[in-house]
Amino acid sequence: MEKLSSVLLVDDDSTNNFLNELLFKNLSVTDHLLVAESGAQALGLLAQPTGAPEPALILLDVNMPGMSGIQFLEAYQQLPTTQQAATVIIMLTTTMDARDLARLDELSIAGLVSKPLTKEKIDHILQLHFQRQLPAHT
Amino acid sequence: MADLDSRLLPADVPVSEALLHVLLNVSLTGIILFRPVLAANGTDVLDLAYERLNPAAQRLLHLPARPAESFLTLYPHAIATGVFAFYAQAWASGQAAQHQTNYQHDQLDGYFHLAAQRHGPLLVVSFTDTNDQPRTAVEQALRESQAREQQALAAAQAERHKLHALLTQAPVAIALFEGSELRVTATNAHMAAIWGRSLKEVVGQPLLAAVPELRGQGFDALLHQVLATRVPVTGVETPAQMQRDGHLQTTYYNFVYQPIYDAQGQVLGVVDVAVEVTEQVLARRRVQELNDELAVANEELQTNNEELLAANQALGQTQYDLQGLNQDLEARVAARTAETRAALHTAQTQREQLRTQQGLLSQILGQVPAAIAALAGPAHRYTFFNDQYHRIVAGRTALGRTVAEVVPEVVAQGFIGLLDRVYATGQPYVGSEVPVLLHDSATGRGRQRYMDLIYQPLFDGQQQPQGILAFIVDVTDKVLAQRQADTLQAAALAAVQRQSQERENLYQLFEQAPAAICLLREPDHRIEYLNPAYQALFAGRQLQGRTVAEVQPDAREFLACLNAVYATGTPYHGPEELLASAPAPGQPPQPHYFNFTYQAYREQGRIVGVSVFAFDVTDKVLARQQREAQQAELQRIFEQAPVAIAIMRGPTLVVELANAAVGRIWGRAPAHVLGRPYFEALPDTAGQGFEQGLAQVLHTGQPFSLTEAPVAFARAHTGQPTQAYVNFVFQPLINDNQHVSGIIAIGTEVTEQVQARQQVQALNQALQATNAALGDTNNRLLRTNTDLDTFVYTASHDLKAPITNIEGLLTALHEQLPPAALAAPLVPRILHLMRDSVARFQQTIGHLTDIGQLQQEAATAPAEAVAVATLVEAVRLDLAPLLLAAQATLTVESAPGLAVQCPPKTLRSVVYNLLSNAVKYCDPARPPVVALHCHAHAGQAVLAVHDNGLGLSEGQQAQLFRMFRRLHSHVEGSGVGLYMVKRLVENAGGTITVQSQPGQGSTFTVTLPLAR
Repeated sequence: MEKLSSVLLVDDDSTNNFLNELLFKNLSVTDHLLVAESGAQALGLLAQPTGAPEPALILLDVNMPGMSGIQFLEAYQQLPTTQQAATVIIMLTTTMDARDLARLDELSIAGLVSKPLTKEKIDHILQLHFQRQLPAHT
Repeated sequence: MADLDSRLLPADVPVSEALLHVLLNVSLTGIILFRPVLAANGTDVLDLAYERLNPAAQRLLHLPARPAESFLTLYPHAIATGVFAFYAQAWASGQAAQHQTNYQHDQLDGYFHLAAQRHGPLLVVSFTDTNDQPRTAVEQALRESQAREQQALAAAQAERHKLHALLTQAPVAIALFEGSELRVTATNAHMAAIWGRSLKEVVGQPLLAAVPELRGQGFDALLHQVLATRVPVTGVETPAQMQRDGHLQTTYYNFVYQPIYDAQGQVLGVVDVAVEVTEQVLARRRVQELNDELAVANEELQTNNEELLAANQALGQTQYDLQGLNQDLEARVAARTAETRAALHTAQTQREQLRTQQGLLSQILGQVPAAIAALAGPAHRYTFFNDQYHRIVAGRTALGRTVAEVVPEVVAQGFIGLLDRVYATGQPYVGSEVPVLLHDSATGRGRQRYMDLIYQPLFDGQQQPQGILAFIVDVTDKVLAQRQADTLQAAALAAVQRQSQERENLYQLFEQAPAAICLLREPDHRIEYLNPAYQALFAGRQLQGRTVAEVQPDAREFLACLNAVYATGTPYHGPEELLASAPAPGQPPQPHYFNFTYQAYREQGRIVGVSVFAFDVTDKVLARQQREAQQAELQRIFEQAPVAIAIMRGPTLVVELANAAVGRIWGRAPAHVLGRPYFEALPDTAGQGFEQGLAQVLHTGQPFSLTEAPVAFARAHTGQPTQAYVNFVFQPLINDNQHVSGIIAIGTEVTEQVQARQQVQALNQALQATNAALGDTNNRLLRTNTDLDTFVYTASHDLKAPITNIEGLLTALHEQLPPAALAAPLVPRILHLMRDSVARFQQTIGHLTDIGQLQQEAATAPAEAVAVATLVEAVRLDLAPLLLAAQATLTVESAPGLAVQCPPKTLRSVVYNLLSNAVKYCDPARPPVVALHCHAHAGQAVLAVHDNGLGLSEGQQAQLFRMFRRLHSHVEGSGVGLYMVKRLVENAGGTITVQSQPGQGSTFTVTLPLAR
């Protein structure tokens, strides 16, 4: 499988980040996995050219202290459009709460995935948004 | 043809036209070449045209070689005689044919032999005429007989012509009618003229068809009668309605209907010979009419004559009567004359007797109480005078002296002349109350005396006057008395006249007076006079001369009053008395009011009657009554008005009027207040600030009003609160001088309303306080609720992440552990327990999330009509595996058409939970039997789930619907099922209850609103 150029994980829960990092590495989805623990940090990463390619996929936690996932999105939409077009944003939520779902309808995101992230869910995202598939045996 | 020719003719003679010419010329029989005129069909022969006649034919028929006319034109009888038919048949057959005919028509007379044959377009005819031959004797005889007949016929024809000429030229109208239909077989122009038709129109026609106007005029009947009876009928001046100038007119005829017979004596018909005599008849009629008029005139003259004669006779009678009367008169005159003479004689005789008695008389005269003097001779010398006389002339008389000497003063007064005349004429003089101026010796002046005088001549035996007897009575006293009486009487008369005039003047005044005036006389009050105004009260009734009792029999009081006035002379004044005057016919009685004055009137100090003066004050009285009625109405309104009204006058506000309503407010009867100054009568209201307001009204004339003004009244005795509230308006009363004279106060007491409102306000305030408190509580509860919701949300959200992490970490750990570690004792068991705990934790969080969502949906899910039976059946299908596994029996009874009003999900959850619970909590000792009854009761749908399960103690029942309360540990459950059911049912507006017996079973009863 062709690896994604870069993936950005945005979640204030470091344990969750740790588990997701573990998952991505095990699945060999990308060679460039960026992790931000807040929206602000994520925006900083995106604004600061590190030489690494722009993330093809951003996995964004909804509920974060400080800048929430939604506030991040609002800020993100201020960035140049070329950058946005190349990036698929998937939101992560702990509960499929109706209030959250209603809010996310209004946001320009590619999808919504409930925590915890699993191999099956990543495979589904790859198929849906990148026309790729994880190898069956891994 | 060639064959024929070759057989007929020698070889040296060719067939030629010349031969045909010769043949025709020499033929003794007539030859005719006809060219038939054919019909359109080309076969039928219509006529024959001549092509050629040979000389013999020309001779026999007296025709040219080729006549221009056709055969039938020349011989029309050829059709009747069959000649033409023969020709036509010969033409049609094409064979030679022969025919014989005795043709005596069309200027031919002969017995003809005819032979005919068609040749091409021609018909060739050969004929002979027997005239060319010598005739046989028989034929000759026949011909002669025929000639004779023809002669006779000609003679008959001539006769007929003659008759015809007679008929047509006769100066009378003639017509012959034949047969029962009276066909006009012959007539002339005269008759036709009578009928108003032309000859052509009538000849050959039945009479009534030709002259229809004759129908019903009886002429046809007469004609039939003549036909039947053979008796001629004659008509003289018979009228007939005939057509003249386009109109039916009455015309007159003299006529004869004569039957006509034939030789055998049979009636042929009737001949009508008629002459119109209309003009003569009309002329005679006119003459008759004139005669009649003359006769009438004659009769009238006769009548006049008779009347004149009668008048003459009457005049003669009158004259006769007058003569009789004249004679009668003459007789009476003669009788009267005789009587007169007799009377004269008697008088003379009596005079004789008187004279003889004269001597005796003189003696007597001296003693009578009159003045008597006897004068003798023309100088009137006294021969006698009595004492009386002597006294009258103041003792100046002396016998032998003359009157002129004794009383010279009377000479100039003419008395001597009187005496001279009596002496001269012998006629006595009688003077009555003759004034005489006599000398009075006492005064030496003349004294006026009045005397009755008689100068009686005295005669001697020769009837010559020889003296005069003066008989004098001094009537001076009587005359003077009478004069005085006369003067008095004249004065009295004048006074009466004056009175009468005055009365007349009064009447004139009365006549025009606006008052009704009537003068009554006598004790019975007879109406002596009344003016028109009085009469008007008794319209159309005769009053004058009648008594009041007659005129007004019912007016007893009036009569009593009049009697009193008449008796006492005291006038009576009756103000505004009601007099129901007699109404005019057709009018309702009008009440009238009068001011009456009955006044006695006197004549010579005596009461002789009563004068009645009546002034009509109806308008005034009615106006006042109306005013009074209005005032009374106002008073009543005042009294009964539901509002309080009081009128106060003057600066001290004297209470002039106060109604009951104001009395109630004051707590005093109005009678106790009326006439007193307000603040004196109600001192309890003084000092409450009203004085200034009322004074202001009096001062400025501006109204002053109070609204819900508190007033303290001393009225505790009435049971009313002393603290009153009133709404009042004080309105100034303006008098005629535009000054404020008082105040009218109008108002109501509103104490009850004010108090009620105050109570309501107090209640309102209390309620508002309660409301505020409740609001606070509500807000607190709302906050608590929100906090709880937030807590549930946060808990479910915030707890979920760490437990998910733990789960992930466990998995990661499991992967990281070396196989040796996994094989170590207890490790797999611990890992299993950890996963189990994580799972339970996650389940609890899941339930919490459900509850949170339940709250959410309760606010949003719409209620709708849900059919109970359908939904229950769906749930039953879902539960089928559970029911099967538990070997449970489920019976469902649902009222048909039952539907509830709630979100469908709610009903589904409720039914699902209750049914599954009923199976789950079954008694292991027996298979579960579950019954669901659904029905409507008291406007609610009732769903009852009955099971034969474990049952619940009372304590358990109390905790049953709490969150996370699990009463049984042997069965899997979260402890939120019944809590959620209760919340769902209550959110939908329903209730849930439980009845249970431990060891027996439970019944959960849910009510939900019925579908609308």
